[in-house]
Amino acid sequence: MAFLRIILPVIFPLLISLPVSADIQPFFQKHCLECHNADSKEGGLDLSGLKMQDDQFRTFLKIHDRIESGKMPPPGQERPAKAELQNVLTELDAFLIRAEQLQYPDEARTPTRRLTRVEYENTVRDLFEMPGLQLRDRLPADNSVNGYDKNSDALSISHVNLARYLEAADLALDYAIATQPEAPTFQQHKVSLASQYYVRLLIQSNGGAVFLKDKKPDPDFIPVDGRQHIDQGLHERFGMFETESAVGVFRHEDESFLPWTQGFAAIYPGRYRIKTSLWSYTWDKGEVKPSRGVEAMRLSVKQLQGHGLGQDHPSYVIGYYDAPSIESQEHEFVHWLNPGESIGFNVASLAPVHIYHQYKRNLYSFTGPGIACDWFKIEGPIFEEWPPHAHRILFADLPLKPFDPKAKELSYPRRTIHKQVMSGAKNHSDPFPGYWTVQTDQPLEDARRLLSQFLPIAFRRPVSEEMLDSYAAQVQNRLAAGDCFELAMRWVYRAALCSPDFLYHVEPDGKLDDHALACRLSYFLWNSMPDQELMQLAAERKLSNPDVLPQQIERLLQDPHSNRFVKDFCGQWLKLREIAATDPDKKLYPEFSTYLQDSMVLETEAYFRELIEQNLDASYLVKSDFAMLNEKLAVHYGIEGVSGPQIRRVALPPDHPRGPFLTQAAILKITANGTTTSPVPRGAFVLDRLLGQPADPPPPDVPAVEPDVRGATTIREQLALHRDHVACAACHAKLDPPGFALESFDVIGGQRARYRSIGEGDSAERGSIDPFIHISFKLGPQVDPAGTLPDGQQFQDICEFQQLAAADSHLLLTNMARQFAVYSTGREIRYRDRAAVREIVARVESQGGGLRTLIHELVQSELFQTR
Amino acid sequence: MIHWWRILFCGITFTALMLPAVVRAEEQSSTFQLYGISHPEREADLKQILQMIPAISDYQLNQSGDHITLTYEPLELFAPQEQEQLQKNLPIPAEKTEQKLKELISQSSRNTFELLPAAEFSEEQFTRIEIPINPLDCKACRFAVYSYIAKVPGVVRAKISTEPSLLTAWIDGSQTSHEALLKILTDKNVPLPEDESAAAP
Repeated sequence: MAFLRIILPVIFPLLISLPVSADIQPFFQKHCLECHNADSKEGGLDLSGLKMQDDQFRTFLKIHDRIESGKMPPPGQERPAKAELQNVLTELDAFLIRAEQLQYPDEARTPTRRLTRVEYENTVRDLFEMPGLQLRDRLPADNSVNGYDKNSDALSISHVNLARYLEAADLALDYAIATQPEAPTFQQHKVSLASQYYVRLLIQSNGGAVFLKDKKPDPDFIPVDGRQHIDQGLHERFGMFETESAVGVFRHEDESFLPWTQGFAAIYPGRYRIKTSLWSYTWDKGEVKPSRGVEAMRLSVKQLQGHGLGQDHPSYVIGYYDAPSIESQEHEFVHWLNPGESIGFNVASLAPVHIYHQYKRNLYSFTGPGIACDWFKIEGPIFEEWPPHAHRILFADLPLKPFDPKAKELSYPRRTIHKQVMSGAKNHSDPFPGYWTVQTDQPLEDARRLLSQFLPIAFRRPVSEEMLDSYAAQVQNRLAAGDCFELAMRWVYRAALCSPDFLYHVEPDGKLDDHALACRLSYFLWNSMPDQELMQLAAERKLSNPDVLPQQIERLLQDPHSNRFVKDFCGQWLKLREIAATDPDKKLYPEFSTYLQDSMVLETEAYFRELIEQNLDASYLVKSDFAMLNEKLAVHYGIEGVSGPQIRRVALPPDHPRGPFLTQAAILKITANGTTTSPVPRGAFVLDRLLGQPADPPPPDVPAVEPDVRGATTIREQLALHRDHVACAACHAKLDPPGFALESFDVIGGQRARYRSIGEGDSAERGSIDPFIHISFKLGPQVDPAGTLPDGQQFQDICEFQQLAAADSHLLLTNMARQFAVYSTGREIRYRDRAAVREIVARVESQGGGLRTLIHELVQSELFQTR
Repeated sequence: MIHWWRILFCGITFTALMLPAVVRAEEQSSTFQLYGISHPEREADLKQILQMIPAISDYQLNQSGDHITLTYEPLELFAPQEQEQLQKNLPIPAEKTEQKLKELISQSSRNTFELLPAAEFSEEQFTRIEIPINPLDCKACRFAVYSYIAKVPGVVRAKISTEPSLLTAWIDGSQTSHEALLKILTDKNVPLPEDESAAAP
């Protein structure tokens, strides 16, 4: 084999450096050479002297695909007979397969690949049952190939990765290992929004917040009326902010107001129960009245830096919660918090209003919406057992005993003293419990026992005796060097978490064994390690059983862990990870907000989830009779009757353009640049991601088209010259039509008949834009969404384009099969995989063409079950 | 047969045993100047604060609210560990108990009430001034205005009223003046009617 690896690249060009075969040459002469000869070279292709060499693989691949799809010979030319066509395709097929096999002689379809950083984080979280452990951002960003970081070609490793893996393993072990015999004290605290200094400032002086009692202004702390309350510090000493009153907030977060519940910050890592009571109202110059509907309060986790002072702390969103009109609604959820984390909040559905500037801090001259919070209750940490699972998976039931850190005979672990980092927090750390560590009278026996339990779970497959011996030997070495038992075991656990057996997908050549199948299935649908049930089935060699595997696919899809698949797949396939890559121009799109942006992502993920849940066919990628919306999106899309921040299925009238991925705001934002749209990137996205027919990259010396934000000319007009150029026409004939259809939507996915401009144009009507948002953009030229597909079919608008695109559901389904295959197997679809994909698609189509069926068929296919 | 001498013996023994307890339970009263009653509603706040100190059994405010007489059990003011030590040297010096009272009142009220040395005065000895202020509906704001003025050297008493909305202060004219107090209020951004603002130095 090694001989072949050396010799083949040398002789390969000779082996297939052949003239075009006898079956193909007559076909070329009859149907192709008239245009593709040495003189005319239409499309840059000269078939007259073409030889079948390895560097012509891509050329022959294109030739094959053009002929197979019927695009060549072009419309209007004599069509080849069926048998003739079949012959030439068979010849080309044989060449391409042979060429590809020679290029990758004995390489498995999927090369060895490591876990992506998302997979790594999920795996460690699930291994230790610590769902909020933050590890991903500590690791170097993964590369991606064709948008997928799971692609093995993207997953390199360097000394930087290894250094970070060591740090990440240390952090995980720090959190996992119990350092005291009893769980940290369970504490319950009630916290007001007024615990936060900046909220107090709003109440006391700026007018951005107010105390409310019994759904009215609190008479003990009247709202500012153009004058601020005197001396905030004294008000604090007076206890004015320690009240049972609700806090109503008008001010949306911005660069100087990023609030969180300053009365609580987690000290110990663990699960915390968070409850809150929310409602909304209309403030009418000092009176509290019913609100315009269900408003949305955004809750997030703030990771405090230092003593929690200052404003800007990294955060991530937990979710958006209903604040109904006047009637308080309680919300409750359990969430993992790491030390120093607190709960941030934002009145997300309110437009930015500055009472201080715009109303001279006089709340008696302001009428507008507000969101009130009666209280926050935070309790925890919650432990069902102690020591928790994370510790038990490392040390089982070995007892914790006190130790003297100053003792010289052994090295003992250093302990971190848990302290409250946030000034003014109500929850406090427990008294220092002393120094405790796991101890045993038979360290070597216990080490082996613990490793024999931990390693197979961590490595996701059985572990050989030799491997066990090598890890146990390391424990022995560390004990001999003077480490206590905990330190010795920690050493090898860290090594295990940084070993290839943990960091890499271990897959045997050829057909996957049950353990590799369990991993591949789990990392596909849960983006993480297999659970106990999958591992058990794999150990019993039952997983690949055709009666068992479908049940497991269903189980995984129905489990909440599959939301990770939804998020990760949509993040890569539809590039949702790039949703925040551009900031829409504030003058052109003043209605844009992070709430709208988050809603966009939720829509796309929920829609994908719905396609899987309902087993809908691939035509729903481009056309739909429903959408997944919340009120924010519904208003944005001009759809009535949706209230509140929760995403739900909304039926649409026939021929409504909204609903499918094609017309979702997230996709439309990702394919724009924040200021202008262009048919080219949007068309390229549709071709590549939805239709599976990516366009060739542009020639290297093509300049970018500069958009005209003055509104004098449209992008269509600017592209016209571009498109008429012979060298550009072939690609743009395919790229532009979907892009033109999508010109009906602006950079944030709103539908438009005219372009917005900041220069010339007519006055714009407010429409559904919040009355508190100032608009200054104008309306420029009309949008022309009409176009002609390469096959000559014409459309006048986005709806007609959707009809045409949805008609070829086979194409759409084939694309989805490819996308799922790339994502789940970690490898591009090569030419030799096409037959397998065709077979999968055919089986799915025979069962109705649903995407859930596609997942089943893919997992049960040889393509999936072979490395 | 009851022997009279046995009854007498029991009585004497009982009294001897009870005597230290009687001595220990001896209450004292002290009078202080009180900082913190800026307006009448503050008396309710004061009552709440005093209830947080079990050693204080009673209090009396003078008519103008700037002096208070507290009745308390001195030993109970101190933490149990300290009480053991103090019991060895009873009675507790007055300065010590008074200092302790001051600390407890200040801490419990977050320094919004303070005990100062008693200094009863007759209003006729001092100049009464009135400074109109814009109506303040918030009690903390009223206290804030009071706090800016009440401890200024030369101010012996200060009050905030709501109807009319006034700061009233009794001052020693040799140490401070109407203008000086007005300036303090202006510098602290206390809202004043236009003519008062104009008059401010």
